[in-house]
Amino acid sequence: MSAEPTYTGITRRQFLKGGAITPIAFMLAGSGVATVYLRPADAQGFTLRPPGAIAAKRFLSACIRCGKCAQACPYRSIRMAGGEAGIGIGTPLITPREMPCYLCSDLPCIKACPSGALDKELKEIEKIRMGTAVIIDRESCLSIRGLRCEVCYRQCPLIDKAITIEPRHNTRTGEHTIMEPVVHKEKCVGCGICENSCVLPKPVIVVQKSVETQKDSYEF
Amino acid sequence: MSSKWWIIRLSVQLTILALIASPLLGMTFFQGNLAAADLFGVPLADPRAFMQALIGGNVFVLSYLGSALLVATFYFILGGRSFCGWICPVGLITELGDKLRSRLGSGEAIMPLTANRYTLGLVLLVVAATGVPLFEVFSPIGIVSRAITFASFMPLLLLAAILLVEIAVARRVWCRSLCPLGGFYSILARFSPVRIGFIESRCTHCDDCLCVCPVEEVLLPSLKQGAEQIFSGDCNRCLACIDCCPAKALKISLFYKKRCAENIFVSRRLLMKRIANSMLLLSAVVLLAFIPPAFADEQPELDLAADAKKSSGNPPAIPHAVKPEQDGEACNSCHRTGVKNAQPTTHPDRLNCTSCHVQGEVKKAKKAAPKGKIK
Amino acid sequence: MGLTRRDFIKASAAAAAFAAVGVPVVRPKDAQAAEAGITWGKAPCRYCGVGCCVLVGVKGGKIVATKGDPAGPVNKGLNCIKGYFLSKALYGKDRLTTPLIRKGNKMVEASWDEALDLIASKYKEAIAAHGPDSVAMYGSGQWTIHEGYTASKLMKGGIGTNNLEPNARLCMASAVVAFMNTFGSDEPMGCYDDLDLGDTYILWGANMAEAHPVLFSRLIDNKLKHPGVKLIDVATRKTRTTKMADEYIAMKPQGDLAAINAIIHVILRDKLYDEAFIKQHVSFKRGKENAPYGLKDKEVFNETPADIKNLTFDEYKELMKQFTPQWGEKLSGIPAKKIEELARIYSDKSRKVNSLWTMGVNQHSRGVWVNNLIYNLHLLTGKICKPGENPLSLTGQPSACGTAREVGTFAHRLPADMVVMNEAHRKKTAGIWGIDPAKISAKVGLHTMEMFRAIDRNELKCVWIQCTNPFQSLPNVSRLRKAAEARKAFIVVSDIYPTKSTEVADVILPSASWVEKEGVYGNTERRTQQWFKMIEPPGKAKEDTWQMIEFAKRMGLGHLFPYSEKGFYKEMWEEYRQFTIGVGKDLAPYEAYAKVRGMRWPIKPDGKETRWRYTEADDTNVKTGEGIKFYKAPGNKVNVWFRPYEPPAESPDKEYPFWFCTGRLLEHWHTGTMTGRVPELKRAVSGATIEIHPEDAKQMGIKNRDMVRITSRRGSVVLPAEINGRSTPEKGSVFTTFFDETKLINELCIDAFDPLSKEPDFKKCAVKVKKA
Repeated sequence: MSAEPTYTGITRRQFLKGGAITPIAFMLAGSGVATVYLRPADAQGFTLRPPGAIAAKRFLSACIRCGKCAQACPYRSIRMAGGEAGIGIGTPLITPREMPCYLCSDLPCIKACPSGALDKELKEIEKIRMGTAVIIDRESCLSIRGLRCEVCYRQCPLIDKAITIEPRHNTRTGEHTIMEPVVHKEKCVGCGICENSCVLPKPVIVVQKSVETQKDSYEF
Repeated sequence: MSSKWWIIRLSVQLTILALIASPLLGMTFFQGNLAAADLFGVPLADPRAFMQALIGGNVFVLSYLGSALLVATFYFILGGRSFCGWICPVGLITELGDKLRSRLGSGEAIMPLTANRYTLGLVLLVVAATGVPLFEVFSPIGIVSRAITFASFMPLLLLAAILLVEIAVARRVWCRSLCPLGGFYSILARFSPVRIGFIESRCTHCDDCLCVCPVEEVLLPSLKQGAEQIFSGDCNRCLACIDCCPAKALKISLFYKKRCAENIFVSRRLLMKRIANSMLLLSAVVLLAFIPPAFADEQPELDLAADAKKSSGNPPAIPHAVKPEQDGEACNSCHRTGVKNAQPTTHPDRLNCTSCHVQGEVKKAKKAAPKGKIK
Repeated sequence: MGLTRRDFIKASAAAAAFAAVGVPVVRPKDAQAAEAGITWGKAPCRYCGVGCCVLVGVKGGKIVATKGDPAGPVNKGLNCIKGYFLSKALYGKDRLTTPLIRKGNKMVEASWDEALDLIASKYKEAIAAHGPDSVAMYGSGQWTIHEGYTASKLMKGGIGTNNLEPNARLCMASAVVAFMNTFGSDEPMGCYDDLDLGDTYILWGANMAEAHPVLFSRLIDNKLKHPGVKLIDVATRKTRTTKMADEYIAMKPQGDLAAINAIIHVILRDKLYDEAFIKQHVSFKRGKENAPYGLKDKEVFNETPADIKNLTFDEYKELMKQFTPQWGEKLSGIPAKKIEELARIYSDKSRKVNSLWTMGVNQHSRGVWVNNLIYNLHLLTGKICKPGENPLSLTGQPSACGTAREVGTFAHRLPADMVVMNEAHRKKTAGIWGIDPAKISAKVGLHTMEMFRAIDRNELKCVWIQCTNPFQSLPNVSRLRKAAEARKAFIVVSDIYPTKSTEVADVILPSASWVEKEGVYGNTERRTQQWFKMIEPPGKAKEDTWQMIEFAKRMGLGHLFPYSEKGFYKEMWEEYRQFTIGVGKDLAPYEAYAKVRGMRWPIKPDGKETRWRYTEADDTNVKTGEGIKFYKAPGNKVNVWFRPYEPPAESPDKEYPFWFCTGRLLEHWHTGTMTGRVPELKRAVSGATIEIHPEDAKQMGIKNRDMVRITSRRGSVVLPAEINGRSTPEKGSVFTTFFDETKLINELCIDAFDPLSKEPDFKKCAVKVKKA
């Protein structure tokens, strides 16, 4: 028997020319195109991820889409994104308006995550930073209008820490208090319970991307 | 012609589907899907997904490496693309699709097996460069599993498209040639100790095996040159050839018979070169793993003011002292027209200014760091 | 009087336009577009006792908007979140729209005639066989004054039984009895203006921040405007009120009796009292002690004049010597030092001191006593009947004052502070009603707890329940539900939605609610507010007065209600008003109320309201130069009662180691039959939770939102735990809310009640807590 390597009937030159160069060219071109077009890892806007999710863009590749976090969630708050999420397909997300994160003290979702996309170092719920609640429409917020609502405040699992009430005089009535809910970004974990409970048809308090806090200014 | 192995294999495939669906029935011994799972408390993970998370996400969890190695060892022992033949639900579906195709007699085109090496390279390069896990986005395996566990059915359209192409155009083109996971396992388990053995003396050259084999290229060296074993990593270990061989010329053979490989398959030089190439590729991947994806951690310079404006739509704070009784008309005296450098209001009809514009703490505003410099 | 409904709507439309400028939310252009074609009318809010004024926008026969009325003196255009979604409470999908009659286990649709004939025949049958005391009616502090008046006239003047009770027995009865035995006249001397004018506010177990939301924002505003204002929260759990208060004083359940006695001890010991005031206005009394808890059926306890001992000031001082601060500390858990401090706060001559309380004091097995003791504090220090300085019992229902108390729908009451036991009172009532005085029974009817227990004892044959939900809200409700389910009595329920009470009814009548009818409500501060009918009730639903009068006609009592169809409300009002004239409770003519956002009685001869009673500064019943005159009390002297400490009916023990307390929260109201139909409120708070102290929870291994089983000697419920949430009870106690329709929380509550007021104690019983 000979040691003829061309058992497939392809010579080495042929192999290199047709069998290797072309695919490699395709591979490189493909990566180039993908690199340009798949960049916007979070161009879809802010997605509320389960507790402990690492930085948005790294999360997309760190998450292996196994769905174990969603299966571990006792409230079914975590669901897996469908095709609408584009390249985020199959990643876990929380839609606070449907079901917010209720911050289980034992964090079963993080325990379930095999890949480290949900940070295993995170053990205390106070340190979760899924996002930050922001009052996006102050004109519509009932509490800021002077009504006694403050549902977001009372439902906040970190009441008096993440959301506090700043009372001020209601100049219009002259004898009532405006009890304004104020979100403290350095404490807010972004669980979305406030967004879930807001009584207005379009919630005026919503969870957005966490912004690093500037210590000496509140965004009143 | 027996179907012993086919029945065994089919039951394994169905068991896998049942496992994926089991949490729906409230059972807890299995959680997850083929990317990662817990089976009776044993964590299992797809080693390719591990690599990708490492490269793209720069995350490293020791237990994850452990479970990935466990699975890698398992497939290394079983060898070749046994994952495709025995475990993958898409494999099962395309297999059924292929039955339909052969009945229709359509889609006879075939693509070279080795293309999956390049798709694997492509997804790894993309994830390294962009942080986008290309394979996860399109993976029909994930799509099928999620359709089962989370009832997300729309993405199944992709699977339908694959089936359509496989039936109408090219025979099992996704599983044979394109699936990067297949490519991954054929490299991983190239030198597995469990393989198909060939007894040349019994072979009648009826070519039945070639007809049933989904990756018939792997059989050719043995059939043509009488090699003792099937060497290619692309062998699915589906054992259909053993089932169908009328002369019992094919069997399960343990341990890699090195000598034969040297003689028949490749020259030592080529082998060394291939090993060197693989090492190169591997080191490139490892290197990439330590380079953060180009766009991954890009943090735009923090401009809180702009950010606040964009993210919250909050009206600006009033940068000067306002007496409690001053409201509406008083504010408008400057802000209606913009005298004294006051910013003209866009909504002079709303008179309850302090209800939205709150007086910022004037002292603190002075203390705040200059724009653009935070920390 | 020429003010028609149309004029009024015009006037309120102007007010609405004003509101559009004032309330920042309204974007003028959209608002104009949106408001085209809407007619606005005024009404008081349907929920709590604060009595906020709302504007109701009607378009095409449907309420399309409600908003706070900027002209409303109580709320100046504000609302709480319940009030904001007020109209949605009328538009739940399962509104009752047709009468239903029980056929076996099924409720079958029927016509009004069928239903009313059936009720009348059952009532007639029972009266014929067992006498008039075998039938009863159970109403509500949410009844309009007209409804309450109709019921009172029907039952007391027509059928001739005093078996008429409002659910206000569960919320205001203790305050009523204490007002009567201290001042001789029901309802407060002060008003909400005190919240703007005072310096120190002491809250006795009242979570005002959630239970009286708009009032609380008024109180806090006083604090914001005047940094010296102090708010002290004496309570058994930390609430949202505590958060905004200056000081929180933790107290053991039932500790109020001991604490206040000890405070009085200090005031007497250190001579901090106002000697002149005491000499002029106060007499000292000692009542009957060692009272029972009403746990046994048919238990009778009365404080007759023979039981009451007159004391001199010195005798009183001598008696109070035993209640040292140390003794107070032992029983109340409030440190002796704090008690001394509170005595100083109460007697600080430079500050205007107010006490505020609600159910913590009233729903108390010695509720009357605690009310008495709080009045003692104010009477001994002379801090009463002055602007900004008064005790104020806050009510929980929109017309607990107007309907239950002023009209007198209690089993012992007649309109305007009169009682059935008094012959002169019966005579006066019969005179106005135009009936034979003998028709009004002198026998006090069954009070609420006895009424429903009597069903279980087969003594009551027919009960008509209107506008309330006793088969969810009564304590130890499982016994009562079992009796009703066993069909021991014929039960009629008039309501707007299916409730836990309609579940056990034999006949369900669909009622009109709120602005689907015309009506008048009276709130905490004696403010009487009128509204017109603005929309038609759905389907065949009819207002409660119509139901009662149609029933009366079938009972041959139609002559009691001789009002014309057109002038119905005015004529009935003017008849009722006769009771109030000249007795210091004067109401204004009906038209006057149509023009204003409520007026506080007594209405002065010039038609103006009275803000502070018993003082020459405001009350025209007090002549100039008289200063303060308690003209309703015998001899113009009010009583300071000696009331010792007595333990609660049930205290935690080894088997049931936790105190159990129930209450309200801001988002829902009462048994949630209305607020539960508002999806927004349901979204905000979907169900009851059990509040546990974090340390207790840790000890039991309970984490936030874990399901927890709470068991008392009477029942058991499973609720999710809430730890470090909006409120935190003190260690060793748990708290839950009673609004949740899916949980019969009041099954756990003990049916012990105050022997004087017969008001049950929903705040104290013993339970055990286990992770479910």
